[in-house]
Amino acid sequence: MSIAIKTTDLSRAFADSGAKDKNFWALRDVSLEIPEGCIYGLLGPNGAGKTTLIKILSTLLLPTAGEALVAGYNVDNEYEKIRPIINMVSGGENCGYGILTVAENLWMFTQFYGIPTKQAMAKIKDLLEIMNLSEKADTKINKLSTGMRQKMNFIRGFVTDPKILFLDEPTLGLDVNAARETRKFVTDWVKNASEPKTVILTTHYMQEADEMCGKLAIIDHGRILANDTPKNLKKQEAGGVSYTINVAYRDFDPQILRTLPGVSSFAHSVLNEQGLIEMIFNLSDDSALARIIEKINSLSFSINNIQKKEFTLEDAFIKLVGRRLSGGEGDTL
Amino acid sequence: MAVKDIYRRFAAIVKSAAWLGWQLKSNWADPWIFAVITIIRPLASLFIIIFMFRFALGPSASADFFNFFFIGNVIYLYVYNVLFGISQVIFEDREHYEVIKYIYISPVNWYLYFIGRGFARFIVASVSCAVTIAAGALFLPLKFGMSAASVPTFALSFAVGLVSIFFMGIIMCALTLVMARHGNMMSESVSGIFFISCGVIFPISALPEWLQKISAVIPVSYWLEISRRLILGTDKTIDGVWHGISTGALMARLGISTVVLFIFSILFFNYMSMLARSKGIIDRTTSY
Amino acid sequence: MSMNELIKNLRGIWARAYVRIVGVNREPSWLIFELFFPLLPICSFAFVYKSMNAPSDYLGFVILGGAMTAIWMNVLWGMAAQFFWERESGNLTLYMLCPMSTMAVLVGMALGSGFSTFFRVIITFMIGKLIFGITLHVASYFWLFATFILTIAAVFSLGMMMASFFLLYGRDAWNILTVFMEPVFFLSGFYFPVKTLGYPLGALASLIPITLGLDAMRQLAFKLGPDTAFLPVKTEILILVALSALYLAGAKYLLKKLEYIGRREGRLTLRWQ
Repeated sequence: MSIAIKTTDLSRAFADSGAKDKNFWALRDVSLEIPEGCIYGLLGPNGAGKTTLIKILSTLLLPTAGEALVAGYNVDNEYEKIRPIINMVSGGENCGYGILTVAENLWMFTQFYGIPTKQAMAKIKDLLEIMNLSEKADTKINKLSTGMRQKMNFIRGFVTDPKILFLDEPTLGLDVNAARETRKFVTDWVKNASEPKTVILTTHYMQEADEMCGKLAIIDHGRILANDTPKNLKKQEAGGVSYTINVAYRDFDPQILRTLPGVSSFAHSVLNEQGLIEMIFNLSDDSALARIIEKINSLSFSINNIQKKEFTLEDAFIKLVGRRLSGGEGDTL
Repeated sequence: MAVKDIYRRFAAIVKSAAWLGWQLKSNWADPWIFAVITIIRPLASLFIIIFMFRFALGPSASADFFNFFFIGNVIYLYVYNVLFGISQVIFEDREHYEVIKYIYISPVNWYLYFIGRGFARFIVASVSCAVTIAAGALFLPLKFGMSAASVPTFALSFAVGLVSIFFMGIIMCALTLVMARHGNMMSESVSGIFFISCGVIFPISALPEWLQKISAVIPVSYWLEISRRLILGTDKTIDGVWHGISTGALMARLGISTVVLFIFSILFFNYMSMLARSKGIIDRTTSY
Repeated sequence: MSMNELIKNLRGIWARAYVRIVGVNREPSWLIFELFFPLLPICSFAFVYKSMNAPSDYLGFVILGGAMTAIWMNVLWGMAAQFFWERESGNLTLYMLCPMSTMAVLVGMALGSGFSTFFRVIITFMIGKLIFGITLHVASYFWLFATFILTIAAVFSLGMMMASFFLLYGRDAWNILTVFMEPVFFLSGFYFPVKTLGYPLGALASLIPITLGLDAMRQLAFKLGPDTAFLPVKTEILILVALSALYLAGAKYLLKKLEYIGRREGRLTLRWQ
């Protein structure tokens, strides 16, 4: 499979306005290979460097060091060859001219890519229909709702039929249904394309990344912390399996289970006044569970409930980054 | 609520709006660039008129003409700056900073907010005014004769004149609530109404009669004539429309026209605000 | 440039010009703000001459100069400063991503603005002429029209060059533009013949194309025009052609140069300055 994007030790520094003569590194030694024809996710907290990376790859920003190739062209000096084959959609943008209608705004952008008007209008009509925006085609965009403007902006990204598309938080501002439609549209677009299409997606929604991306990178403080398929990331980064076991007896001492072979980590808490104890085990593998059950039974205590916990992408993210991507205690976003 | 609390609340609104206005006006450049720009524009305006006189009349132009347009030009700096500052508030907050909806739904008193936002322009106008006076003293044959007894009347007319400009600014804001952004054209152009009809650089008597009737309802016309009389220390004026009218009568007309303007501006602003809400265009953007 | 590239850029020019042409027609309030209100200061300056009992041609000089302010204002706020607004709305980022030349965006804006400004100047002048009863003594309608078009072209070329600075700078440049209002109205002789300034200052002012364009048009349209001439019409036309070419080349060079600096310093997408 050919490579759509390749970066080697890519770094970008900005002058830090808070400290004289000091640089703030938004990206540091990023090396990536993104294959053609996939949706590649970039996950990271705010300020991690995702947008900086996208700006460099989309020719808006020059790297301070390292190299970035898009479709084999260097972003530094071959940007004129890159621009005809890429496009970008940023969530929450208000681009376009309020005085023009939806169709006119989209037409205008197609002209900047040299698409003949007839062909452009047909494409616009199709995309408006797919995104349920046909009835607003002749409405001035200053009369659209935020979600509709976002949809129009989204269509703008696809109307030029780019080979490589950068989607920066594309579902921002969309309701649940519209976001679902959008995700489906992107997935189908990549899957059903006659020539390989590549999408670079940044998102704050773990589920979105998990559902859409064939591969993704977790990025923080400008560095790539992990780069794999969501499935492998969940498996590798979370490490092992986790079980929750409830035991209903006040006098039970859970500490005796800590030293059993195969128990990587262990935590417990008393859930109520009746003495219901909840224990969470991280185990190296499933076989350790049998030893735990055997031990509890041998002490004549009864198990109320056993639940296996499935690791999510968020667990992998927390392990790598040290905090949640959104919400939760200790969140720095 | 106690009077003291009301005062505090009002003062807080004006103070914060004035701070915001000053930041928007001044924080984009080095102070010296800001100073150069503040100085150079009024000077250029002054030189345009001086060279028009020089072209049309040659070096023999009468001092009366210079006195007339010079005082008009200086007072007009306040009209232009304060009116421009206030009339840009809606455009800036709506289309550039996109904060108008948040201000609109807040319990802020719009009039106090506008006063505050216009204050930065008042400061700029005062600096421009000082520069223009200095340049006039250097380049023009000016003869001023203001007496100490005239100072309170001058101060009163100045304050009422400024208040009238503020109400005109409110009317402009009301208009901009329902209009598209045409760059700076609108604010630049509207101040032209006062430039032509209030006798800033030429006597109102040179205007056609129907235009003279319009000048008679604009407070700025009275403000300019009162200022000319008090600064020059004479009731003699080259503008025929004011012959036979005492300074006291002009003060009364300035006061009455300002009160009328005050009532109209409030009614008009409320009407336009309702209209904008009913059309759903309070926070629209209109770039092209 | 290949034929494909040329067609792509031409499409881009037309699309950007379309926004301007359609834009002014869809917001009828421009009629008030860009036709009626600009007439007011023009009339004020005409009344200054009238109050001095100056010859009627002097009023004509002012009306023509005042009508031409529409071009200058449009170049300042609709051309040079437009990238400021484009950046704030996010459009500049998209222009940069597009495969067409940034020059095409600017040319499109210039053509769109130039088209609407062309009619605005003529209408404003005709209304002013009617109000003050100005009589024209046109030496050559062809040369008058050609000078007018050439002036618009040269001034918009300068505007394109000024616009390139907005790839790097934001509100600071926008504010600095205000310095090109009254000082240019003064230096370019919008309300009096530039000859009145004297030759050294007039020569300096000639770097702003509207100075010579206005002087040439006054010479071609009014009886007293030749008496107040700064330079012969033919010389002024030649200088205007040279200035157009110079500013166009300057715009092309600066756009490329400043886009590179903008990419290097990360300022192309910097907003809320």
